Amino acid sequence: MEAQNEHKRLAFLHSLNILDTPIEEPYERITRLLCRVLDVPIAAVSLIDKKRQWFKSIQGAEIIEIDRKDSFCSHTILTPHTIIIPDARLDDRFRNLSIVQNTPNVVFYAGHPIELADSINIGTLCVFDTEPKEFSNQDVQFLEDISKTAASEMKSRLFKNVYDIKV
Amino acid sequence: MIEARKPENEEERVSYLRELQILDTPLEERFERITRIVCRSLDVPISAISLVDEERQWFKSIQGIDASETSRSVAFCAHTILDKKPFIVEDALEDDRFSDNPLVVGNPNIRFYAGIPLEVQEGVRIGSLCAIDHKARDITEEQISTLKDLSEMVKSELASVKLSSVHLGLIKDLENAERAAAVDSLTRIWNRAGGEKLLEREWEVAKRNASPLSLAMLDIDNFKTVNDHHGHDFGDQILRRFSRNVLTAIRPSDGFCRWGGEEFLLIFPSCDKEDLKGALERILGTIRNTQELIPVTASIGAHTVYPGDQRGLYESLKISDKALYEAKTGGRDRYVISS
Repeated sequence: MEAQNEHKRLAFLHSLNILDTPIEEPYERITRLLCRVLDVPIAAVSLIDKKRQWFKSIQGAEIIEIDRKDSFCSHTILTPHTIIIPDARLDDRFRNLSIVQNTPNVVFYAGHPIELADSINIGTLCVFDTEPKEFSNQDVQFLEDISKTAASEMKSRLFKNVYDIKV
Repeated sequence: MIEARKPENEEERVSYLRELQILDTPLEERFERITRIVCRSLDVPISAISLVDEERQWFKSIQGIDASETSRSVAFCAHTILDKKPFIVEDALEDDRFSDNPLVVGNPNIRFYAGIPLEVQEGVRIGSLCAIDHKARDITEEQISTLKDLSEMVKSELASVKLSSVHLGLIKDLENAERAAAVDSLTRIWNRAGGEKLLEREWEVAKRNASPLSLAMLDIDNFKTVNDHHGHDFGDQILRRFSRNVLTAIRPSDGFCRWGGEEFLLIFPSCDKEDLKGALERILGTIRNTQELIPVTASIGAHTVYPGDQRGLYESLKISDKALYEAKTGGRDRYVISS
């Protein structure tokens, strides 16, 4: 599934020059904070490239990237909202994903898009659990707040040269 | 109580702070979310971004207390800015500097304080990001590093310009005193005077760029009954929370003003009728879905004005007003866009 503005979305993502870069502390601290506050084993800053989902930062799993077809987040970037999947094993869209079927055997997913500019969702901030989980309104608010702060971080740190491009 | 001394570079520090043009500006969502994150991450009831001005500390954002400033003499943050290091007071009652501080012995009864200085340039610390609790507690290294991380986010927000150039222009052109007079003291968003100035500027920009400008009058439903049943203090609290909620649902470049009573004006630059629908749905959805002290809904009347329109700006406001009336008579909790 592709976003309507897929072409522009990818142009934005690539202009950040962030894909395949080393881990960086500002993103590490974001994923650490997510794990700690939301009490989940896995949290990630995920970026959706043309054919893959690449993790700028991930806690709790040794994955660098996965196939875009195999990802929850490729759905999340199509909406402006937080997507919550309480139990992926019970959801036809997700039960056959490799990360559900195999290690890390994800069951619960919550993700919020990282919106770099109006409706340009380059990726998500997301958390996973290996057990089904309840996610409160306060949890949603927290995930949303952090994802907006992450977007702001990306803009201010990496976006300087293209910030003036008219969306 | 022992008052904090002034840093050696006080003059430079204050002039740096003033140049940021941030004192007495309206609430901004990008700072609100950081203080919310602090409350949630450290499990504290109060968090603030405090800017230490010559004689006062002014809060760019504060959760858990309804205050916009205190005198500098009682400010914990006035101590925090004296050093690069985090400033931690685990129990204010056990600390000679604070045990008889009015903020400790009286409201808001501070017992625990942790502040990270906001050092925006070598040695120049303009304020702090702080976490406060009503009970004595200790803080882990991990929590300190979380707070430090978040203070970095405050600094990068301070350094980057997020408001539209129109907002910034208005903020720059208003002297400090005028600026405070253009901000509503209850909700801390623009008041009517500020809103009118903003509106005129946005209209000039819209004409110059030949871009549409959308306006919306928003009114809280049945607010009079809230005041009648629960009293005015409660009503004020609702107004405060309501404005913060709406703020989370608009873009940084949108204008949001308290027009009077429970009526608000929203200004959406470069926003045509289609975009307007999306914006209004998002706003009403946020209002509906946010659990507050009592359920709150609002009605909106809106209108998109195009630069060629002969009727002009103030006629558009009247059109929006009429549309608001239609939304009210149509059953409330809805928007009506009138052309």
